Amino acid sequence: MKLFKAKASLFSGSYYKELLKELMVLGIVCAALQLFYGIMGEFGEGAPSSPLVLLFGFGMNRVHPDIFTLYFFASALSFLFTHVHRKNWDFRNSLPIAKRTMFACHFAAVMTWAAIIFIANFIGVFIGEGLRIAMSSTSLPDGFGISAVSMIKSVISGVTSYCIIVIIASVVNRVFSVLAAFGVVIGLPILFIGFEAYIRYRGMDTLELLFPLGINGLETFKLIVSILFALLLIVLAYIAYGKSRVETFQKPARTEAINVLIGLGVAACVGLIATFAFENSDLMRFYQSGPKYESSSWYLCIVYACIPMLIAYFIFMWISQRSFVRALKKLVFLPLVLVVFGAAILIAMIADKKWEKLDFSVENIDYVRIKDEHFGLNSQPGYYSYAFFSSGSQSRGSSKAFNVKHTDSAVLLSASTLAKNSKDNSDDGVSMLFESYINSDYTKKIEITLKDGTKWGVTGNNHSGPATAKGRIALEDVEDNKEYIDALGSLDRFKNGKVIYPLNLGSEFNKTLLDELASLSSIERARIFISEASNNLGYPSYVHDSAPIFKSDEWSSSYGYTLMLASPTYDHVSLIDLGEHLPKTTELFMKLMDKKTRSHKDYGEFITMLKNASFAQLEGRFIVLKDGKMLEHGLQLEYSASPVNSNASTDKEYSRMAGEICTLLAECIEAKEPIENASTVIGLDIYRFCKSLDKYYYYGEYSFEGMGITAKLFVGVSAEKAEQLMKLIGEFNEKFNAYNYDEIPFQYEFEIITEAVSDGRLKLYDQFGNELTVDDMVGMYKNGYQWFYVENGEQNFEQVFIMDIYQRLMEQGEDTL
Amino acid sequence: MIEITNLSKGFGSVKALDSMTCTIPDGCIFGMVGANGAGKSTLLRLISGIYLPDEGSVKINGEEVYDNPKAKENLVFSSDLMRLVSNGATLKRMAQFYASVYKNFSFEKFEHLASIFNLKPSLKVRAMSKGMTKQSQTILSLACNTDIILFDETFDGLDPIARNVAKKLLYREVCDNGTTIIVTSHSLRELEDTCDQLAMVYKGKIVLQSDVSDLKTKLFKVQLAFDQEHSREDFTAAGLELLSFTKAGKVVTLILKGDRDDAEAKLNAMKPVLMEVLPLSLEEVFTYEMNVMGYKFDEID
Repeated sequence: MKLFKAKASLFSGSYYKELLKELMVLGIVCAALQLFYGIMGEFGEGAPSSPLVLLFGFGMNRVHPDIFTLYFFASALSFLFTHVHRKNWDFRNSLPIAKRTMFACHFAAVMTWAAIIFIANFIGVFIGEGLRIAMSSTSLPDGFGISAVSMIKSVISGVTSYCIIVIIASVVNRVFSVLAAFGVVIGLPILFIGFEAYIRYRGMDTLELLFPLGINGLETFKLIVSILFALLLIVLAYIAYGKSRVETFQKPARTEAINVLIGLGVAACVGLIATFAFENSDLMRFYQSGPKYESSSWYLCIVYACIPMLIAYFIFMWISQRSFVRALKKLVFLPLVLVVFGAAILIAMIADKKWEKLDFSVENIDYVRIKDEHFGLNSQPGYYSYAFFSSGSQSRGSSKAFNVKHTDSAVLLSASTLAKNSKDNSDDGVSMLFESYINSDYTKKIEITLKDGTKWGVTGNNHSGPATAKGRIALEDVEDNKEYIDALGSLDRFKNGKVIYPLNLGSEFNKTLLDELASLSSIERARIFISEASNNLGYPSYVHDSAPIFKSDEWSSSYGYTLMLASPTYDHVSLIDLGEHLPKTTELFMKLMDKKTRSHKDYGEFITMLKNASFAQLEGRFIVLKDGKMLEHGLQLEYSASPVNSNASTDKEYSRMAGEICTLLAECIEAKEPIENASTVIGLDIYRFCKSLDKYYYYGEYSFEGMGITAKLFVGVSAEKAEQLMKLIGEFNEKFNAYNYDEIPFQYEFEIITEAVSDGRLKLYDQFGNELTVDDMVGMYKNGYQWFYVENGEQNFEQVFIMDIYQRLMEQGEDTL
Repeated sequence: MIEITNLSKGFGSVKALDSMTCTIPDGCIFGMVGANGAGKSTLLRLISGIYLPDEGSVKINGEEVYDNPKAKENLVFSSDLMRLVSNGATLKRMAQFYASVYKNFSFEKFEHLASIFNLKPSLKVRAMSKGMTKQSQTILSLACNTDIILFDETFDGLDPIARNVAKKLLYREVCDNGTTIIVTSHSLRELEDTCDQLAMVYKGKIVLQSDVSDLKTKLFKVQLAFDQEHSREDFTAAGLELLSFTKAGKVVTLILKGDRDDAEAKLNAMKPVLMEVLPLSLEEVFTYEMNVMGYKFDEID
């Protein structure tokens, strides 16, 4: 049997051209937006130095998929109004073009404009790249490859939406019903999966449980399925519209059954949304345990889910049937919506069974791989990383079984569990490990390969808070894992790469860095790629939020001069600390930065002010590379304010030493010794420089930072003067500054807290509610963490600074918080 | 030639067309008249392949027309629901669109026709009045140079001058190019002096189809005065086909069907004192024909 009676050409060039014109306004608007976002994407997310990003307050690259979604949705609506709407059907359908040809031409026109929008993005990226370099932006651009993949996925989902609308419009008769049906088709699966996961939280979604293919396998599987599904929908839309009958539009009698189905879908969506909106633990237990849980649960279920469903269904039927009485009659079908909920609960139970059978014990795990979905930094096949992950939220207060699983998975995902030879409580100050990890607030995908070879993808939310000792891992622990080390230390991904922060260091510098990295062994490179701490070389260090990656901040234990190395397409980015492990690169870096600093227009004025000490306050950090060791000293001078416990003699001494430091500092900086002869290099990072306390504000233009150098500033100084300076700063800090960056002191108050923890009077927790031992706490404190959690009632934790804990202990006689 | 055979089309419980059969010859102006909801527009949509017949068929030159681009190549439909490409489009843009779809579209003819109606091609569709939109549809349809043009109540909204211009253009189109034009209207007067053939559509059926000139010549009205009274039977006995008989004393008014000369001869044989043959309007012709068939004309218009 022939699908279509009459022959028709698949495509009509002339009609296609006309449709291109019809879609022109939409296409141009979207292409312009995409061009703009392409430019903005070059300034990355949360890039503090980009004025445009500051203006908009968020990373624009996230908007990419939205443009395509908007575009395809609008295209589908355009098709509805030009080819389906009653006002147009005589005009379109009397034309000597078959309906299926019209669809093919419209689809081709839509895809043509999509291609133009796609190209607009890349033009934007190239323009943005130029601007980024011109503005010396320190932001991290999107990877080209990642942008492209993300956009291709968006195009696939856009095509899917477009075809779904066309198909629905071909079988449903009213625009209202079409839009409602579209919402149901798109929204119900998402809500369904969400509900299913909601009532049975497992740290692994149902799809991953049902198709254990591992992260890449599942991603590929999803991509293939989505492509095949999109192709199937294109064919179905071609047939559906080709076979559609215009005379059925706006004739409710013909499609009553379809309207009932859509109404049920709408009711199910509203019921699920209402369930989420009125998050109620009793209601969730009702869904999890059934009606036997509590008699009042029926009431909750009726109030929170059933009544919204009933209202939504009735309103939909009333509008679609255009009759109050007919809508009332259709209420008899409403109980069918329970099938949706029943199916969700059934699938959840099946997935539960599978989850329960999985053995994620340490003994059963072969290895674990982390995929960074956002920046793709860890997406290289064969890469391993370790991190402390939690799977899900504790705040929801699920069942006990869930908590057990949660703990299991937390342990499982903590690095100590993953590394076969790891130390559970290493106290060497080692923190979490992220390989070039930048944004810590995003969900990570973790692939667990069990010893039987099965791969399981787990979704983990890595926390941005402190690492606990339980989650710590040293690279030393896995040094014998050659595969891991080789993968981690691989330089292939940075072939022909360049330094993207700081910019404009030149090709010679890029080459020097890459050559020097190439000359190292895998383990040495691995250490560099994962480490930011030169004084802890060999150990991974923790990188905080995205903002401080461009310069060390006070919470970080990093003393290195951080560069950002990127692959040519920005798909891989790594932070690299300069130092003794990269002497040639470090020396060249110093030379370049020294030259840049001295040639700055405000340089002379700055030195004069420093010499004359004509400022109220100076804060700075001095990093010295001496005999291959990185040393850092903090400095704070406040001329108008008295130091702690001041009296006349200390004030005098303070002023004397501060003046001496300033003079010496100015001399150090002024000494124009050839860099080659300088055995010691000073990095100076003055970030606060105020003229007077009466008029207290920052004079950025007089600081090195204000000179347009947002990284650390380096000047070559003579070894002798540097020695003198560091000695003087050391003495000064010892006398007047309570906090020394080089050695974190175990201050009196801290000792009291540790004492309270050790004898059990005080319980501190990490953000996951894991109770900390003294060692845990010390480890975290050494890594710069000043806040912990204290229990504030059942399952409620309060974040408290260490000083506050001390204060409370003192106020309450150290007995309790 | 358009052949319509046992054509039926329903919408839910409403039967718009009911086993309709008719043939529309080439090169004529075929008028269809009927009340609102009689099925005229549905028939046009079936002829232009917009609707799929429930039963029966519509063939143009032997080809089924539904979703058949080949059969629709030589057909253009000027609908009363004409939306055009978009509200922002100009008449010229519309012409370009039609030109991309109809291979015989003539821009020269389009511009000429536009000048006749005094319409600027740069005029935006949304700025047009109802009458201007109908004029635009006429211009565009004629410029397509197709063999068949369907006008769905296109002339109902035109002013008398524009209507006359449009009618003249239709005559010329048929004379010059042998185009078949189908025009629908709910008013007989609109079609009276336009069409070669007329069909009356009533409740989904063509109840009457005839050549207009035949209709007008075969039915005529005669007013007679006799010196004595005559009954209806006297006239039927004389062999006259009587459609209507009214008597006011010795004055009789007859509506007769058949050969006019023959009827006059038979009436003269009855020795009337006075005899006058009067012309019938098309509306009257249809009224009497429908009465004969048992329909009431006031139901139709």
